[in-house]
Amino acid sequence: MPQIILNNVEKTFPGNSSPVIKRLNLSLEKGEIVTLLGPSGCGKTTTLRLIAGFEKPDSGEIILGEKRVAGKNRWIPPEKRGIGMVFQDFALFPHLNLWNNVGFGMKKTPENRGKINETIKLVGLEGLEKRFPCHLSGGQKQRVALARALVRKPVVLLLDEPFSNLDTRLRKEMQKEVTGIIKKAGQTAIFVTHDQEEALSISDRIGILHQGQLEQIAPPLEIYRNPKTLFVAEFIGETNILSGNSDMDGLNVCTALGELPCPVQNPCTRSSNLLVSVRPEGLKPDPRGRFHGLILERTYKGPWAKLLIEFRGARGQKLHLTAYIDASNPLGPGDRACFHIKPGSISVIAS
Amino acid sequence: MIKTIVNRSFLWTMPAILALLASLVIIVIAFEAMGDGWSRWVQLFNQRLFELFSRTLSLMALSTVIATFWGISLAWAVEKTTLWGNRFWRWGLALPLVIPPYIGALAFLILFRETNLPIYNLPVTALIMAAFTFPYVFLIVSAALRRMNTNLEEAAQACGKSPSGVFFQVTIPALRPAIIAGATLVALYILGDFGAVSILRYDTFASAIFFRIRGSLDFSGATIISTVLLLTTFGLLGIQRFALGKCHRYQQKTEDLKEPKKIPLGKWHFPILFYVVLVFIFSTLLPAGVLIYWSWLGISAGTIDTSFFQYLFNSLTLAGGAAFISLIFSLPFSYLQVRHPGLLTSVLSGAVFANYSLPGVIVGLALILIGLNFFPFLYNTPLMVIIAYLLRFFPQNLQAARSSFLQLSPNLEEASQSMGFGPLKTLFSVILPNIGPGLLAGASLVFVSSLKELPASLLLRPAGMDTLAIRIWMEASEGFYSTAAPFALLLILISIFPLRYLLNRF
Repeated sequence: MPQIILNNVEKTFPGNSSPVIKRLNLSLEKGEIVTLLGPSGCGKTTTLRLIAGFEKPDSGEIILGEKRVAGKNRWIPPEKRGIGMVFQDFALFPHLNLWNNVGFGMKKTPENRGKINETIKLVGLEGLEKRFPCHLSGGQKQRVALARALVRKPVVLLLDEPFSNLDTRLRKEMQKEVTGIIKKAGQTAIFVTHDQEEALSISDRIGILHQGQLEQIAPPLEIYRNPKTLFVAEFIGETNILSGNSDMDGLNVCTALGELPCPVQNPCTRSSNLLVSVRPEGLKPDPRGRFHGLILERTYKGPWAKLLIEFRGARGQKLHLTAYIDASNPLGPGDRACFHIKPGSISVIAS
Repeated sequence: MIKTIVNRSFLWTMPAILALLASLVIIVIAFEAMGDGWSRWVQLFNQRLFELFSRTLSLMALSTVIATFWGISLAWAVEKTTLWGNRFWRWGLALPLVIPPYIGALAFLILFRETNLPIYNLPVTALIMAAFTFPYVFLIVSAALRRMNTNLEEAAQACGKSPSGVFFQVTIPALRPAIIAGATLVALYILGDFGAVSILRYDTFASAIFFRIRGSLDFSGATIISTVLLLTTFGLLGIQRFALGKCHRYQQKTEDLKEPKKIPLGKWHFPILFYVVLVFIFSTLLPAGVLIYWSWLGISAGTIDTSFFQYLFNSLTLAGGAAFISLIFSLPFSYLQVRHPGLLTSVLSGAVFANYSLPGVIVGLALILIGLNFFPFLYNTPLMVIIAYLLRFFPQNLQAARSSFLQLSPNLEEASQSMGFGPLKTLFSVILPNIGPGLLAGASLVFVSSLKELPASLLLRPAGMDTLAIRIWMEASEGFYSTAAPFALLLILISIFPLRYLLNRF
């Protein structure tokens, strides 16, 4: 039984002609960490606010832990939903000390006091209970915000771009730490972010939102290896897109570059209109490779280098593809080389 | 260039003169108060000092509570709810600021006399004082509400708080610095006000000081009461500091695109709108209406004659003089503040700002003593009045000048120097064109505040040099309302001009 269900949820803001959220379906298992990823304005924060109850859906229903909280003739306000929320700016109450921030809104019974102390310990802030938010560092504030959201054992933990206010080094550290704490507490959590690297490293599953629609939801590796739509393929990492047709037995795709093998886990449907994504790291310089190309540009990227290569298509047309190669490889502009394409880096997108 | 300019001592002269005069105010008062020894203190305490103290404090407390309640509730209704006419109320409720409380008191005096209602008592006086001071709280709290991080309220909701729990446990505490700032302004105003309380015949420290000087020329008594008033003022500022606590730099809104959600009022819409309209009528429409009606009565009865233009001329001369000198002083002073911060600069500006919260009667009394003891040739000249205006209102100009200087990058001056411009040429071709508007806006605040100034003008003016403010007060005290009303109306109309600037500051 899923912990959280969104059924055909739709939302249009007053004054806008098109909906921010279109027929959204989503379900989370207990203890799962899902990240909603997308460019700004894709509706990811709105989705989070719909689950929290800060926005009301126009139609569809939302179920949190077997309780219908929004739907036809049904509305439960945020304060009665039993959610935990971590805000981008942490939103710590400036007039309360750390302990009271974590225990905000709880009756101070001995049992609850125990829970508060326990949660403060869980996030590693014991000893700082009396401090006020203005005397806490960014990372500490983040942990207080997390503790405050966790202390009530919420049905779901909602985190709205929680790391974007931290500097780069601290961000990486906190990503690991926060997900560790959430996993340890066995919490179901939804993150919202626009940072794909962050999404890839913290999530059990990633949901890619685009113009209010869920394009694909899958584990990080699956999203990267097998993007279902053109948007997902181009949004996560870099890729080369070729159009093509599948052959008669459905094992290969004919593209302008030539015949490419289909990935095993995703057998091609027989169709005349397909898009093929080839990840740049799959194009490897190989003297025995089938594809001959002319290097146009080379950009150093530290341990690796990025090449822009011009290939000749089957009918003589020019095709520009990017490839990542080892930085020790001396290939540069003007050089000609043969390339091999790793089957694992190819995926087929139904267009 | 900064160094070459700062090293020129002339830049320090003007701020130093002003700061010296400002610090003399407190020194002279304290010195004179000690002059007659303790026996005089004991005598005064036995007489009425304690009664005065309790009367002053109870008026201050009651007015501040009313003004703060109105300010917070109105700001909340205007900024956070779907109240009908939100946009109008946002500036409509700031309008009472253009009515000086003594003019407001005059309007209510006329009104109550006509209706035979009792007016000379604490509750009515406090209500009238609150009606013309609550906009301070309203404006500051509104601005804080607009800037407030709405995530705080949502975080509280996510923690399971009901809307009223959110309001009392998160919104109000988050507004605390703004509320304290607004309430302190109101309390300081009430403490120092002379015009309104004297028209309403409610004795406070300020009016007692004034009548001791004017009535019985009892300088030592006046300075003793002044000392107690000064200590009360400093006590109030101390309480404010304590109440703000250490962490009063609360986090502001981040680059947050979402518009704060407005609370639908539902069945409460009409009662709340009624309350807003009631405050508006009481503080703006009613006094304005009374003054317009009595001005019309007065003008048609022929009270406006050539002497009116003489008073207007006196007012404009004195206020204009103060504004002009203030404009000149604010340039080097703000330059030092921004480009050469340090101990000396902060001592100088501290001395000047200390006077800002001082009651006008104290500044007037101190200048009488300084004039009599040190500058007898200046005593009884218009310059004394202008100096009083400067001491009281220069900080307004300084703040405006400082904030425009802060927006001017020092690189501009260095760029000008790198292109071969000397200090003076840089001043005229780079600095002044950029900060000129700020300086002028500040000086115009000084001008309008000076026009409305009453106690120091009354104490220091050369014989016969009556200003509009003085005439309003005198005619009101003697019951010639139809003569006072047109003058009052004119002062209000002049005060409307800088309101726009004031509103933009909050």
